Amino acid sequence: MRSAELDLRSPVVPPKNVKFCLDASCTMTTQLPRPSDNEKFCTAQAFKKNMVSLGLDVASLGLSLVPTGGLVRTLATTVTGIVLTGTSSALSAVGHHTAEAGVAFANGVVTSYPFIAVAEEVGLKTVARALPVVGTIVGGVELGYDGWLAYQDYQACSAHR
Amino acid sequence: MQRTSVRTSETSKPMISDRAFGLVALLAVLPVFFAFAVAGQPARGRAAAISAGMIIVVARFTWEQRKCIWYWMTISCFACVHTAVVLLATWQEKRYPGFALLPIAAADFAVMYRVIRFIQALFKARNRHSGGPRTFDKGDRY
Repeated sequence: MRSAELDLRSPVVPPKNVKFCLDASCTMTTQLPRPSDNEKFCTAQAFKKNMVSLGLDVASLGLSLVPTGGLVRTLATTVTGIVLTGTSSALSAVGHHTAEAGVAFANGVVTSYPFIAVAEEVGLKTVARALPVVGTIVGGVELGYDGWLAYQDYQACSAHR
Repeated sequence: MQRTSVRTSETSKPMISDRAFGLVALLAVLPVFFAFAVAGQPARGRAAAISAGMIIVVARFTWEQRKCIWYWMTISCFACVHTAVVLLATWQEKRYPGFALLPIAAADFAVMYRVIRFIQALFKARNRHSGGPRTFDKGDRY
């Protein structure tokens, strides 16, 4: 509609996203804008898409200081780790990425224990003592990485809508 | 009983527990990741942050050697090598949930730690013949 055809007698309804108005039909407010439906939708979408990765990263941080076990447990977890590695690779080849992420997480948890136990048994006590610290840093950086990707997904969704 | 904290020197009390140190180191390296991520290279940032974290952890666990020149030269060499690898290698934009990268990071830490201990043993044997270590302390020989 051209501006010359505007009916000046009709009330002017401000658009939703306008923060400040200069005419009499608007009232100045200091309230923060409430999240729109688009923001809620995109937040939910980004969270849903990255929920598995973020959850596993948070779990990693919590598990980074669990103590290790003995030689039998070391051997058992090593075999389990090998099996889980093969399973993760197979799932990746088929295309089940969510399941692959879960199996890879379990693999990381399982194989970290024999690493600590072996390090202790061959006399690398400092290396074994440092592994929980290393796990905290790796898990935290991974959490930051997945959080960043979730934020990128949110931004892409907002721009698309 | 196994020690649960790091000592800042051979004679001082533990200043900070391992758990707290891990969190502090994590907070220290996260800006490295976000700097690369804002520049559009989050995978490279992840590698840079983990590398920086491993160097910090190695420095912490070998901190009793901090008065030796060779120690800081070695740490500098580690930093240069990691910087070159981070900047020159191709990093995939792939998710590695949780502990999936722990074995690689642990191997990186173990190699750097053993190299420092090896150099320490070399200098100890050398100083046994030449008399006294070369340190930054009170006008000692560099």
